[in-house]
Amino acid sequence: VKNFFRKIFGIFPGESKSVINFVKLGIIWAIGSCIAETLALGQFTQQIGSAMLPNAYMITSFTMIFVSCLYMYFLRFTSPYKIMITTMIIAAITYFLISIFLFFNPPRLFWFFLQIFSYSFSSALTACFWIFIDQYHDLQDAKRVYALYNSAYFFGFTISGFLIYYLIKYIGYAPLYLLVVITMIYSIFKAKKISKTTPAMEDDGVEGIFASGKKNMQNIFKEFISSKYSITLVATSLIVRLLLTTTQCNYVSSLEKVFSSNILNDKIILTAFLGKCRAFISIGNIIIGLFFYRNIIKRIGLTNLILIPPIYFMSLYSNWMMFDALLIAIFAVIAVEGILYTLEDNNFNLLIKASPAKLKNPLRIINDSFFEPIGMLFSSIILMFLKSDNKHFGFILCIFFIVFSMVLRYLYPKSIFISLKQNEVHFNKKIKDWINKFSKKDKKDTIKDLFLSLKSDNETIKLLALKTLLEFKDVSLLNKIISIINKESIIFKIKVLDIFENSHFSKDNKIIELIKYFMEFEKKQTLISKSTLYLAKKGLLHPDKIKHHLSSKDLDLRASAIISLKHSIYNKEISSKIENKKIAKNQIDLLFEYDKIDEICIGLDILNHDDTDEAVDMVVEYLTFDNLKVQRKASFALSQITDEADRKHSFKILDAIKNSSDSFIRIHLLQALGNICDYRTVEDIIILSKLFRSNERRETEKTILKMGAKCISVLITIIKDQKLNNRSKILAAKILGKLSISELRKIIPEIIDSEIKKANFYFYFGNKVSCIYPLYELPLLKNELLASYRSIIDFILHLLGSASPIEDVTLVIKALHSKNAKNKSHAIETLEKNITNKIYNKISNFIEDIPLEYKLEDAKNSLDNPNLTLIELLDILEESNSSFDKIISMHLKAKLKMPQWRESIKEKIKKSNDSLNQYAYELLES
Amino acid sequence: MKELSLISVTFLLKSINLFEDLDLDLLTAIADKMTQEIFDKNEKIFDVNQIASRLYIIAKGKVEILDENENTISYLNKGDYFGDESLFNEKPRSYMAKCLDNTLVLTLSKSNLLTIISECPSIGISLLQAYSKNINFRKIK
Repeated sequence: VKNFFRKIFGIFPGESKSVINFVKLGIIWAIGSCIAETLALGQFTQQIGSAMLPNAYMITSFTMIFVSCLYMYFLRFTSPYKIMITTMIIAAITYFLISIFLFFNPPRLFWFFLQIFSYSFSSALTACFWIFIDQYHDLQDAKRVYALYNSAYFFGFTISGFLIYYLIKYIGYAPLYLLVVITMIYSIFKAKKISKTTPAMEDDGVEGIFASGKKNMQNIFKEFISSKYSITLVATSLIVRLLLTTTQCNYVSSLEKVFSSNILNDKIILTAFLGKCRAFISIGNIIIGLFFYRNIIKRIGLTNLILIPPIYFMSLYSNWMMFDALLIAIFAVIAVEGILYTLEDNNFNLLIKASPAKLKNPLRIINDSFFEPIGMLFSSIILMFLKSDNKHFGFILCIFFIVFSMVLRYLYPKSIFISLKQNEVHFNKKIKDWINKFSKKDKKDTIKDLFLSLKSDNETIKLLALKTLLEFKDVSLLNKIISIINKESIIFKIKVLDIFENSHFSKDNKIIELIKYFMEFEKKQTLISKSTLYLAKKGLLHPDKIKHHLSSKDLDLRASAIISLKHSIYNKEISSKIENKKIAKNQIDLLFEYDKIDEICIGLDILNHDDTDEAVDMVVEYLTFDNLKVQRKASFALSQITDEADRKHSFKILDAIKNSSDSFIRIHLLQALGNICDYRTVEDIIILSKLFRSNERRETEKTILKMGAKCISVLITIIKDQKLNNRSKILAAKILGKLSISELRKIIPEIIDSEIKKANFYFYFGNKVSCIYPLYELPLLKNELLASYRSIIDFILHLLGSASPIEDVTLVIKALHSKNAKNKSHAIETLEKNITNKIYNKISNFIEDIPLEYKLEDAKNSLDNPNLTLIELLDILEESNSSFDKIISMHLKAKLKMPQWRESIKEKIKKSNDSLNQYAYELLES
Repeated sequence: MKELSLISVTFLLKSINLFEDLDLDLLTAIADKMTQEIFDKNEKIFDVNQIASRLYIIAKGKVEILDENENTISYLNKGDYFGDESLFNEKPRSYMAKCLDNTLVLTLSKSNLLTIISECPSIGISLLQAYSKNINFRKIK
């Protein structure tokens, strides 16, 4: 029975208690709040008269605006939980005092106070209740249970009506107010209990959900105006408020016309009729909230559901403008009391979750406490002016409603992705990319800060400041930079040369003059040599003037002479040019002759300015040299001088990547392969990438993308290859998605089904292995099965993500694995919005936070044989494409001394690869 | 108190031993993820038993670390970081942090910190080194 009810209400096992607590809280505070509001209104009408109601509403509007401002202010210092508790305490004390005052014939002002307080308190508490609930539910939870909480409110609302109707005759007003006090006290204890027993949703966007967080109002406002989604949401909410009041006025006036012909007291009949309508609609609301809303959302999705209210209103008003009949008026009552209070309110509760984290609570307050009075105020003013043309005004509002809902529908997935993106760390961005995005003011401030850093005591900081300043590419800064450098130490000046050489200003006259100055007037030989080398690399030294350094012991000067002979701009005469190059060639050969590390390194440095085939041939040989420094220099040189003509070296370069674990070497050799553009290497590169670090994988992606469309067929083969590891296939899918998304989409259906089948197998047996085979100790098998499951899921998600319009698949996948519940639910939503429903339904079990028992049940149903014996399970693993599955299978068969395990291993050895055989032999020997 | 520019945050990070091995591009990416928060003198940054989700780095000012009985554990200055332990042991804050001066702190979320460690393992190693300095033997359950 429990399971039946859980499934009907969409509650997962383990969360029943907390959901029931929230439902109880919702019902009880709704009873208290609604009793207070109804009694206050009734007493105000009795004591003051309905004629003064508009005045009371006017003051209420301003009070509510004041209260919402107060809430926004306090949110800077305290948690929404504390605000809710405080509001309830104030309400409990106030209603207690009110119940006492009622015995002493209170003055007129008291009734005004009672009416204004009750109305404002009710709205404020609505905002508090939802903000409080928000702390414990992510978007996916909200889709399941928020409608339930909304129904709880309506249930409380209905009960309050019954209580007033049946009790007021017997006990009067004061005890009912005391009942409100009791409901408030109960709600305070319930909320405290929830906060202690229910774990809050993990969201590290701000520290501590119930802790103090300094949210600067200015920052909140800035964030609001930069969020198109939040602006649209708020605007839609305001339109809804205006539409609500306008429609209420319209249906009352329509019903008045209908009932005015009645001989009986039309007001009584009208009120009774409205009461009956509302009662039925409330029951409908509860039923929709309890049973249907969750399923509608699942079927058609939130982005489609948000169009239903505006479409309903649009069709209502388009008919209403032509005919004024009772039936249409009833539809209008349904629109306000049903569509707006169930669908639109529930939609808003979900839509608000896509807004930026910092804005969520303020938006909730704005909607619940600010827009209600504003809507009331605006509508009353507009309706006063329009008088008879209310329906046309309603129709115009409908047009706005539908337009804004469409915009909201468009912005919703984008806003969710923006929230996800806030967690992205942009490792691929260079400092110049950041600088390019700076505003003028930011640039000015940053330059000022950098010049301050140039005066720092820390040399590393000074060098970084200089490097960053040069990235601004602002020539006007050079004079100031040069004057600072001139005052610096020799060691600093030497280090500065490297920074200049790699900067935008490497050939700028001012820099060249500075270096010439170093060369001529500085006394330290190292600085002079480095300056000479700098100028030689830029081709600015005359070969004849520097030739004498060819025999120098100073390697920098020797290199300067060789480079000048080869690349000097003064090498104009053809005969001398050839002669000089010949000398340079001999000198370079000499540098490599004695296997001296420093000489080889300087030789490789010289060659990285030489893009001839000869140079490439020479450098490639040093990729296998037994020294890391040399290998690094060689790989860097290749990244600089290779081109498409060097295809003959592509497999040697590939081997060097395979044999090196150094990131610098791998990245530069990948760049070299990218220059060579040899698509024959694609498969090997992708297979190698399973061992790569994330920056190396990013470089691999760039390299293959550079090779272009020729790689598509290879990539397709890789993705389809069942034997290949998933890490490599993921990269292939990512690249194919960028090269040709249509090709990737074509192959997805045939891959996805078999992968889901595999995932179900690993998932089911991974989780069940210890229950199914309790007599064996099988942690190793369990871990392997679950690891394989995770790897397949990663592959499926990357495959689907790469074939979808999602701009950063890795970000979404990372968020799916995140502990941050909000991020995870946003990632699920993004995926759901970007892949077809058919495929999403197939994978939803794997990614959604569904209880394990439900997932296992589904996985079991998808298996051909969920009752495998251990031997059968190990046999299946032995036939798997994964080497690790095979090893585990062999290992367990040997360990558990399964029948004929030796024969089985011997059989395997005949068919398997080297690494597997090695382990198989070890097992046999043991 | 004025907030720091992105580049100033980058440079501040470079001067902290946790990040000193990283290059400018990586540091700027990390700096971009840092949120700046200004606290007044005597204001608490976080309290004991509070749910922990962020790492704190002092950019300006002084912070006092106190235990649950409000006894001082340590004083921290510019460039010091705190609040990281709870991110790894997933327990609530075991100490409180109070500002001794008007203080500007940089904060980094747990998920961003974990992403950064996976990209730059040297940060994880620096944290391990810092923790291992304070323990002689790691208790086995």
